[in-house]
Amino acid sequence: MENQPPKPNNYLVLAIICTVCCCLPAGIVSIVYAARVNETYARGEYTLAEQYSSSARTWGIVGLVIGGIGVIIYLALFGFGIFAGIMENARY
Amino acid sequence: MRATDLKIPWYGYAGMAGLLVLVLLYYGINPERGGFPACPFHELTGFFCTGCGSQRALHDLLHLDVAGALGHNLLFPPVVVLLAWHVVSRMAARSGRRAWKSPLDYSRAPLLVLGIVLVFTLLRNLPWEPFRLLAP
Repeated sequence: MENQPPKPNNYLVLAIICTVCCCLPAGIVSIVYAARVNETYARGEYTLAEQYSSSARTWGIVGLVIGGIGVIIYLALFGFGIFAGIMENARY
Repeated sequence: MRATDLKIPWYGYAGMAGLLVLVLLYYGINPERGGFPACPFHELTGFFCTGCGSQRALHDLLHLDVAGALGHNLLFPPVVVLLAWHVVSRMAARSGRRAWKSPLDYSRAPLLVLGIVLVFTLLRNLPWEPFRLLAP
């Protein structure tokens, strides 16, 4: 096969971090796109693979951002509770 | 070896900084004591998602309690090993050394990950006895 472009990134690492740490369905969508990148690239549909690659990245980033915003909201709401928790731990 | 050989991408630095903050935070805080953010998905639906228990699992791991970590989230310790392997493999490749291929680079990896995640998430929500072990 000539003119084979390099395989586009499937962002599987991003998807896994998203799924396991951010607790978000966006991570699962991202994994599905990662699978499609590999599939289409293996079939030789390089343009499609590139498109799936950017979808995988978008969903991974969306998941991380939503997770990050969630954490910030939580910290704002429960910051006092966390601080109290730290103080309590410090006594041990 | 050229200086550019070991160039670390920006997200590498961001990841390392984030990791350091997380390690310090979760070493000091035991999420079990409460006061710490619970998963919004669990709060809203009552179901356990794939990541539920990973805060506690991280705390356990930092205190070298592997059994405790596996009990809180069976997937968390393997994922940590997997990601570490992947990063080491990539860094070795960048510096031109030979290393074990990262498991994530196999073409079937995304489908396998998807299958494991879906089955795990389904099973840990089943209310019957052997599956309760998978709940956080």
